[in-house]
Amino acid sequence: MDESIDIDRLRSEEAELQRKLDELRATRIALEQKVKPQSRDKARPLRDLVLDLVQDAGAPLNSLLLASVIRPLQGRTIPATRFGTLSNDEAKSFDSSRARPVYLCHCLTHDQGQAVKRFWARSDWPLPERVMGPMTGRILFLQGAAWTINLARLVEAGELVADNPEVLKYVAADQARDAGLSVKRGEFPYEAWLATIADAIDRHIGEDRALRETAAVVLASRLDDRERLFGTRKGLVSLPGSTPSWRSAIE
Amino acid sequence: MSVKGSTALVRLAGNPDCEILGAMVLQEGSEKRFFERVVGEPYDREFGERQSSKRRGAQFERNAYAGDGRLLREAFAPMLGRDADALTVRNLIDDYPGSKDDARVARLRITRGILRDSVAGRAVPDIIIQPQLLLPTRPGPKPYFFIAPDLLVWSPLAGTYLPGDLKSFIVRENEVAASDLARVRLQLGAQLLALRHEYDQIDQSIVVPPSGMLLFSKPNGLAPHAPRVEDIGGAIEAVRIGIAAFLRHRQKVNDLRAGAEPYTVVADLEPHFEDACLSSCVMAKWCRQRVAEHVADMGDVAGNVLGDMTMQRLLDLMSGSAAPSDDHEAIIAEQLRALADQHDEEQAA
Amino acid sequence: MNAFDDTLHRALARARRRALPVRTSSSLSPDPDVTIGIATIKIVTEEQIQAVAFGTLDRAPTVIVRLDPIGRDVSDLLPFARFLNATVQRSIVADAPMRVWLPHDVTLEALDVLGHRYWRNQTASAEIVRMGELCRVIAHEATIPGQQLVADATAQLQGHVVTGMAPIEEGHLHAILAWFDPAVADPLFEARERIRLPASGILPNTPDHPHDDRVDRLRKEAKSASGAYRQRLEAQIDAILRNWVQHEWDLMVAGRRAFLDLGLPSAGLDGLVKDSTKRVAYALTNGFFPARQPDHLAAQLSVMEAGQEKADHAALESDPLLRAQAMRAGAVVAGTVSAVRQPRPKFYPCDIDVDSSQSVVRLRLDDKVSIVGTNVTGVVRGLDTTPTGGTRVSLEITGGVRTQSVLSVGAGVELVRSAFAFVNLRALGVVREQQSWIFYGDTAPTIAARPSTGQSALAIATAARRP
Repeated sequence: MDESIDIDRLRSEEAELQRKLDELRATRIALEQKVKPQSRDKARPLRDLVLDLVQDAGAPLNSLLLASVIRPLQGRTIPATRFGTLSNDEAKSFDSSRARPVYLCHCLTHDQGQAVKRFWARSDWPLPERVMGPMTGRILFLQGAAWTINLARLVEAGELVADNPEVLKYVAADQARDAGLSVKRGEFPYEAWLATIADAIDRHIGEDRALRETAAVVLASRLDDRERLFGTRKGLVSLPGSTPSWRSAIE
Repeated sequence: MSVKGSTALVRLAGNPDCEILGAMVLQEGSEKRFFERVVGEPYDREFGERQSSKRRGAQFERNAYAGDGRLLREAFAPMLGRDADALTVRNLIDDYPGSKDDARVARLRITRGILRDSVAGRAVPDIIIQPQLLLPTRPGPKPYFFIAPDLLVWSPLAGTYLPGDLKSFIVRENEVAASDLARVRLQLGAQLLALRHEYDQIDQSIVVPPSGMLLFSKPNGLAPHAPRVEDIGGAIEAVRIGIAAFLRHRQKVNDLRAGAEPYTVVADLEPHFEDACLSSCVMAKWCRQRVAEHVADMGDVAGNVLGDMTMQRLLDLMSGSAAPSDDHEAIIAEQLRALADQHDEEQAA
Repeated sequence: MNAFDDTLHRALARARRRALPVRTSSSLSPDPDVTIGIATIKIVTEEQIQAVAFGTLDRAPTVIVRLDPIGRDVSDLLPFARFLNATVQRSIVADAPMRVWLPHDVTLEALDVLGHRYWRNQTASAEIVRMGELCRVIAHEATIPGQQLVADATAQLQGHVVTGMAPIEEGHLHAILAWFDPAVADPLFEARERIRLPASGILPNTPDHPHDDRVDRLRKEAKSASGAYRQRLEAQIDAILRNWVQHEWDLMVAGRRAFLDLGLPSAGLDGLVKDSTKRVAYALTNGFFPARQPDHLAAQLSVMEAGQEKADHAALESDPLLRAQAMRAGAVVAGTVSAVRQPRPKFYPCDIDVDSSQSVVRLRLDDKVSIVGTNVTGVVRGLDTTPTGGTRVSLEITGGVRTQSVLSVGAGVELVRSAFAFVNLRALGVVREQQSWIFYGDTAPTIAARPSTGQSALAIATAARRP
């Protein structure tokens, strides 16, 4: 009984500290961007940038979305292949002896624990936050869209600095259009968009979260540390033709 | 045009008797490179997809897949009798992006997993984007074709997935030109055959009906028309015939080449030149030279009507400098002379 | 023409190194006063027009080059819209037919897609919307067999001549023109060289003429360029598109010239001209309304069938060469009047027998026929074999009963089935009123079984036949 109260107390202290850390980090980033938007961030390694953005979003993000946001936000063009090498580098870094406080990692499928390589998350997030169920793709898209629209809103309100605010607005509008919202040329009703997206998320998030939490328990018991970040090792695939006598059954 | 994947099968289905096509499918590298190696000259005609077409195709796909496949969910919801918002989508490019073999194999593995889940009654996505299938032929060079439909859509009626393809060329009123439709139906045929092989590996009692789906682009913007369900029984059969032909050609090429590259034995292979080759194959001009002096040079119909006759023979029969060797030639000679006289009269008049 | 005839004509054309006419009459009436030409260059798969040349055929065309064809701004098409509308106005005011020459059907499609995009577009100006509507009217009329509004130069040549190439190669306007040019010594070789570059309303993209990819690249660069550099890029785009749309225009003009130089008379087309002019005038004045309701669709199909029948009939009536070919297929019956049963000369009733040596005859009992070159019409009442293995056709005369020169024993006649060109709009109107289940329903109504009347089905059918 006492032990469980201790664990609960420790958990809530941990969450409180995490929240404070997040706030501090966000303030630091905002100040840094205000001070020197160009020179600082162009030199920052991509992995650090992605870690921060994903943290800011509070949810895993798709690499295509990241690339389309980084361009107007930071003035950097990230080719699609760069994310592939990022994935390999991060896994190699994990395998090396030098431990890092946090790693970039992928989302995992809820049933097989396989990596979903286009979705990026942080290793310091609880496992359920990195699991993808049948409806999670939808929710992550909606959350990513909301995050992008909010960024554009903050930039327009002067609370955030972007390298190319005009393009960022259109990236946000594209996300709204992809979400099926009404988008009229030259109009950016950020609050209305965010409200509609929030409703769309609410419709599915309860069930999705429950599924992810159950799946995470199972995966945690099956996967080792590395697999929990980078997914299970690939299974074998049978490709016909290796034996001369092979015939397909439906000939 | 490509000679890879389902496109290769479509072309084999369209002209199964052409051994040159068989060699081209076996040969590594592009069709253009094949021409250059065989003919020994650079290819001087248009080849490959135009930038504007590629871009439109990519944009159409991008739009369809965006927003967790929103446009696809909305397009298929009426057919599936479900609410678009409730449909689940899985985009395998998210799982493993890329177009190289390692990515294809990875997506094949995931697709097979989903198919197994569906047969076992576990929850599976309603729409799979960019699945990967494999169509086996026989052991030997090129023992299989990688086949990648744009979509697999769960059909509650069939109890299986069905293949679907996105086509970015514009279609008005959802009516497609017959020639375009024939080609894309053959593609669906190849995809369905591959799907049948995959299901067969899981459970031989599963029957996949001969249906596939097409989504065409509307003239305004890049939204798709309502999906068209195509009956592809004939197309599946045509693809089977194409595969059987490919295996015959492969045997012949292998026997001739003795380890060398397929293109080296092209001169010993039989082309099967048809009118349609002119608009679809880089080797058309080269293959046509084999019929250059024959009446088939005037088209398929002429070749069918007059058989294997040479042009010179035909002209000699007309002028009277050659005597007809049988009744058939006699009729031809008589009719040609009458025609010539008639036109000479008209010219004079 | 059957395959055998086509092949022989093709062989002769190859031997003679010239295009060979396969008709002695034209399917197109002479160009009316209001005649224009349109040529376009489109972006493939986008189906967007990126250059258009238009004007009357007696002078150089006006050319519009679109620097941003995929963009929303279509104000660059206004001169074309205004020209089209002015032309239509001329035709309406003069109550006269109109003609639009195009190089080939790709141009027609491009105009049709343009029409689809703008005829109901709420963000476009009224002039552009009207242009869209006019394009839809033009494209729709072109689908009606026998229509006289749209002259597709390639189709006209393909329909009236044969060359020594394969038929599939004759779809290339520049190639087919090689067979009309006396200056070309070897038209087969020349035509096949010309086929390398497209004549289908698109920019070439061969290794030696990579213009499509080039314009694509220039447009991309121009988007992010400015000032004098941007102007230079735009000038390059303009030069390429201008050159190639002019080429399309020149091909159209040359195609028209080659067709007219065949000198084929256009007889028997008055009915078709009248129908086409009426349809077009109605649409231009009242607007274009695509058929959607079942009864309208049925009416539209009937109009098309009627057009086909009339066009076929007009062609047979005025073209001995076509008639000769049709005779071999049994669609035209040539023979001699062997008996006349007419109690009172020049009066009804009148029945005749026509004996033909043709054993293959496509006429059936109750077919309505006409005698070529006369005003005599009749109904087939009997078909028998003659002692010599030919066919005897017995006709009940229904028109031209006074034409003694034809209705006498020994007269040589040619019989052709009359065009069935009746569109039963009244019946379709009733269908719409009654919302007949055959047209409007998804399922047939259930009919309760009734006791049999005892009559055989054959007897019922015979009794139902019209006298």
